[in-house]
Amino acid sequence: MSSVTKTIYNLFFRRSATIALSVVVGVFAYERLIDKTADYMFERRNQGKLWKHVQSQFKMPTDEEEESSE
Amino acid sequence: MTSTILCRTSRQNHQILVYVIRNSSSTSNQTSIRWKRLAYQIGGGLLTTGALGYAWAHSQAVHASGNKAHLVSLPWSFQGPFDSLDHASVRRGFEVYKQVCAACHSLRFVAYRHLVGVTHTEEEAKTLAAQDQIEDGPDDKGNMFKRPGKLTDYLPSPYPNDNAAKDGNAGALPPDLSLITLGRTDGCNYIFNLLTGYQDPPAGVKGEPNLHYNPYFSGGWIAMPKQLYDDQIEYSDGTKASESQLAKDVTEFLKWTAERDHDDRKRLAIKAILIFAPLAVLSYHWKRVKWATLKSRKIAFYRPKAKDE
Repeated sequence: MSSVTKTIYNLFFRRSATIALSVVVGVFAYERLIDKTADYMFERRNQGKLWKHVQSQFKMPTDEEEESSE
Repeated sequence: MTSTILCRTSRQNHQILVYVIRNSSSTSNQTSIRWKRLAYQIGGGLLTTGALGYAWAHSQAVHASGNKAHLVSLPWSFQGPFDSLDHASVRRGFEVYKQVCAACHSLRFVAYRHLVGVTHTEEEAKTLAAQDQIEDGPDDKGNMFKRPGKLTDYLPSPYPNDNAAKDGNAGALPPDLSLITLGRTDGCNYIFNLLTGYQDPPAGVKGEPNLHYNPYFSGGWIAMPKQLYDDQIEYSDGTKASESQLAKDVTEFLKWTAERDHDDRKRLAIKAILIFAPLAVLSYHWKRVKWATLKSRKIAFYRPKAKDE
C-alpha cells in the first residue's frame, strides 16, 4: 500500500507542474463523468417521456395536420 | 489521570511557560459542557419538530370559509423531484391550445423557437411559424405590416390589447396563459379541475347573465364557458381526445410554458447532488480533523522558575 502511495506521490504530487496538470485533467474527467452519469440517470428514469423518445410518434402526421388546420 | 504533552511554549531562557496537554479522562468542567450540549440538542430538536409540525398542520387547513370547491390532486407525470414533463402530452397540449384556447387567450412569452426540441422539431416549428401572420414594422413609410412568422417570433395574441379582449368577451379579460400555472394556487390541479368542473348550478342558486357555473372558480361564476368536449379535436399522434385527456394535456403544456426550465432544472438537480454529496462528506471530515486537537486539548499554566532558584 505504502509503495503505491509513494508511486502516486512521486508521479503526481511531487512536482508543481505534474500536480497542476493532473488537476486540470482530473477536473475535465470528473466533469464528464458526472455529466454523463446524471444524464444517463435522468433519461433512464424518464424513459419514454422526453422529446427525443416521443418525437417519432408525431413526425409524419404533424405537417398534414397543421396544414389542414390552416 | 494520564496526559500527553502535545506542545509547549518557551521563553528566551528555555523555561517552559505553557503546556498543551491531551487529556484522556474527563473533568467536571467537561461534564457540564456535555450536559449543556445535550440541552441545546434537545431544545433544537423540539424547536425544529414544532416548526415542522406547525407547517404541516397549516398545510392541512380545511379552508372551510373559502368560496370555491377543494381541488382534486392528480398524479402528474412531473410530480417527483427527478420526473420530467411528458413531452408527448406537452405536444398534444400545444395542439389543444392552438385549436381551442388561442381563440381568446394569448401566450405572449412563448416563441416558436422555444418549441424546438420540446414539442416540435425545428422544421415543424418553422412551418408552424410561417403559417401565422405576425405584425412587424414600421416599414419605410411608417406603417405596420403583416408577414409570415419566423422562429424568433412570439406567438401572436388573439387581441391587440386588453381593452379589445374585454370588449370581445362581454367585459371579462381572458388572462395570458404563459405563467398561469404559477399564477394560481396549486396551478396545475386548479386548471384541470376548472376545465373539467363545469356543471349545473345547485338548486336555488340564481344564474348570472353571461356567466357560467363552475365551483372551482372563486365565487362560482366564471365568464369562460365550458370549452373542452370529447373528440373536440384530433390529436396528431392518434390519442383519443376525451375531455379529461384534453384538459390534462393542455395543463401539462401550460406547466411547460410557465417553467420552460423544468426538465433542465431536474437534470441539474441530479448533477448537483452527485457533486455536492462527496463534497459534504469531505468537508465534514476536514472539520473533524481540524477540530480534533482543539477539542481534546487542555492548557495548563506553570509559574516560571525564579532566576535565583
